[in-house]
Amino acid sequence: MASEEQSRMAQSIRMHLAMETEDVLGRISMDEAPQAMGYFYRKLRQFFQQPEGLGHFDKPGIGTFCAQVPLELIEAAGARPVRLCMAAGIWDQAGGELLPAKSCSVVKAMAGMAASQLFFSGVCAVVAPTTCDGKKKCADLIETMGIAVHRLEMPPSKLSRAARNYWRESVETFMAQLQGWTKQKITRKSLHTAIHRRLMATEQFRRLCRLQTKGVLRAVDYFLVTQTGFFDDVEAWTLALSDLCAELEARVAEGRGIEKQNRPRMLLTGSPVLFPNIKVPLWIEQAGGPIVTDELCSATDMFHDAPAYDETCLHDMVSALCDRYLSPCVCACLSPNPDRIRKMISLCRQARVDGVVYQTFSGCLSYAMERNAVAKALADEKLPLLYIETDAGFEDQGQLSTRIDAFIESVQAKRRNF
Amino acid sequence: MRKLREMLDKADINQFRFWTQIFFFALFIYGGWWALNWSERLPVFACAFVQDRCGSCYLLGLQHQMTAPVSRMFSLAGLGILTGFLTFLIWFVLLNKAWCGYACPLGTLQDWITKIRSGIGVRRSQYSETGFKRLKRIKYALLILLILIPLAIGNTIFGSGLSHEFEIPFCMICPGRTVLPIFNADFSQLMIDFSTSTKMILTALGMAVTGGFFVGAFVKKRFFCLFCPMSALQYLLSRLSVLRLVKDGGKCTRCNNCVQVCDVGIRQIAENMEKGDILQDDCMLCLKCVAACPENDCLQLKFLNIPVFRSTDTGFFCRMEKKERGI
Ligand code: SF4
Ligand code: SF4
Repeated sequence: MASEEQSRMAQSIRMHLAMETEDVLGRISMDEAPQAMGYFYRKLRQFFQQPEGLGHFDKPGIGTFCAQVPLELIEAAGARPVRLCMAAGIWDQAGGELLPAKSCSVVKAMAGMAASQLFFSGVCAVVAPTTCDGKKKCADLIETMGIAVHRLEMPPSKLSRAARNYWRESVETFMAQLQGWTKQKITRKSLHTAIHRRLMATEQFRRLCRLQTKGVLRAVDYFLVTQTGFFDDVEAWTLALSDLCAELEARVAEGRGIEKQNRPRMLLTGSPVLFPNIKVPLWIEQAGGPIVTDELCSATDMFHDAPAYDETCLHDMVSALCDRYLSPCVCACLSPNPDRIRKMISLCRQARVDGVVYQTFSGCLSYAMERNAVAKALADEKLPLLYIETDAGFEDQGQLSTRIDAFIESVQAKRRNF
Repeated sequence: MRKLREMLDKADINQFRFWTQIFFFALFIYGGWWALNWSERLPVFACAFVQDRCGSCYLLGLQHQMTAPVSRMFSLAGLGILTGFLTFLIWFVLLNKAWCGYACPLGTLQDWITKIRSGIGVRRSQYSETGFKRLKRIKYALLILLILIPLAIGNTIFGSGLSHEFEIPFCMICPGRTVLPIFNADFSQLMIDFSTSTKMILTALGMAVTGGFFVGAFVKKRFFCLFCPMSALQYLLSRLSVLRLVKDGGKCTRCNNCVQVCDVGIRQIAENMEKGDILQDDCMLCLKCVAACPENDCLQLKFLNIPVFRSTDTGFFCRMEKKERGI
């Protein structure tokens, strides 16, 4: 009986999800869209509307939380990583029944996703780094639903020797668990190949970022690209990405699309932009401020870094991966977290940013708490900051888009005065 | 000019270093064949016990000079010491610690041993971070000793003057003396001298160090360099050099790639965000870190303030792809 009710609920959530995706994608005007974006729209539609399609991938899926899971290890063990951080309004609602209303949208949405059993058909287990409290408790909850969960224990800091050793051991435990799940050994060769694939992806992603600073790609499109990277096969994604870059480069060569360069250039930071919740970038761009760069764990923080090693032995490659996923991490769950501000300032300078939009989901305390330190550092750089607190869903459109409009207008006015 | 820049950015620094090392090795071991003689004051272990060398190590001369009585050091002999030091300094100032990474034959030899090790698939071992800090000090102790012991010969420090058999104490235990002549088919240094007890102790110690040199170099990259008094002397003077390794902390993402590839495991290169001059004790300016850094202009090698080699995003990916093809 219970299971019948469950499946009915799952059915209804699925319908709502399909509608929500369509609604969001429908808000994106297709006039300006590069042709190569078609791949990403298609993939997202397929992923959110026929999630059982995931099961058709020939490799077992391993769900991941956050951006600290060494994806290369999963791939080297013969599986396929799927980052489960997604923030659909309907999941948020469903998760609200399971977690306190004050928890952040992402965490609730992930709980809701698990409860509606979507995506889990193709995902045989979940890896949850012990980042913020919300994610940790969400992992606990998911485990009670009968899903295999491995906790990738993360140190609370990344600067000390103890933290490094702890992390290394934790990653090694994770490797053993992975091999147990997939019954496939991670070898020198398989890991080397996996690292290389991700390296190529990183190279293309950085190429896209360079174009992004020229303002030729709409921020929504940019975030759809990164979101597709959460679940897509890395080689296919890289290829589509390089097509997109080539098309955009051609546009730049023709001088098309770069007129936006002279609009107020924005950096977006704070809680991640997770599909289908792309409203903030959407409104920022509609207000006329191209997002030229970002400091978000769903975009640059996830795809920008690349490991290096000298000798190609398993030990050194794993060691390089450990560093790749912990050392440059600027997640607000770390204490202390000096690199986040350093990184943001460096990005602002490199991309000649005019203003920063800082979004947090209500309930996302770590990011909300770092706001003042960030605001102070930005003020020292004479950069204005707009702080937005929001959640999944489009209910706050009226209020938020007015504030965003006003902010961009003021940044623009300030630019003119210079 | 832009072409040249691009070429330099994408340069395969490891390969460049490999061939430069071979060049210098040949020069220091066989240079004499072409009647080359550079200098007796080189800042590398171009060992004076090598017959066909083209130059030799400054430390030998320094130890000799220190045997003079202190009173004489303030006369004409002092001038000799001074010019000796200045010659050494001029050589050093040109290349800084790149002498270690690119020219030192003993360093090159260790790198070859490393190649053999990784070739047969044995993985390297590393020091613990605290152990590393402690061991680093030994080379300074050696540097002080190699000056003090000869001083005790010409001067009465221990009551009476020390025996002349202690004239070149460091050379007696340096693996350069025992190992490098082998490449000239000269095995005469590979023995224990039983003629006097002092000689016996010193040469026996030398043989033990030689054994340690090979074993150590096989297990750890650049094992011996950690104890090298030349490296200590160089680091003390490294600020004077025109070749500098600089870091722009603002561009660093703390990705730690530089630490991962560093043969001697220098952490400061990633962790220090303030210091511009990032050259550290034990660094040999091999530039692997610059090659592995994926952030534009974060790490740079500058000669007279002109960037010669710098970290770039494109260069990084170019080199990593090459590595992939290599496997
Ligand atoms: S710090 Fe850089 S240049 Fe110095 S030894 Fe290490 S890798 Fe080589
Ligand atoms: S490789 Fe470059 S960016 Fe990475 S930690 Fe070292 S200096 Fe910083």
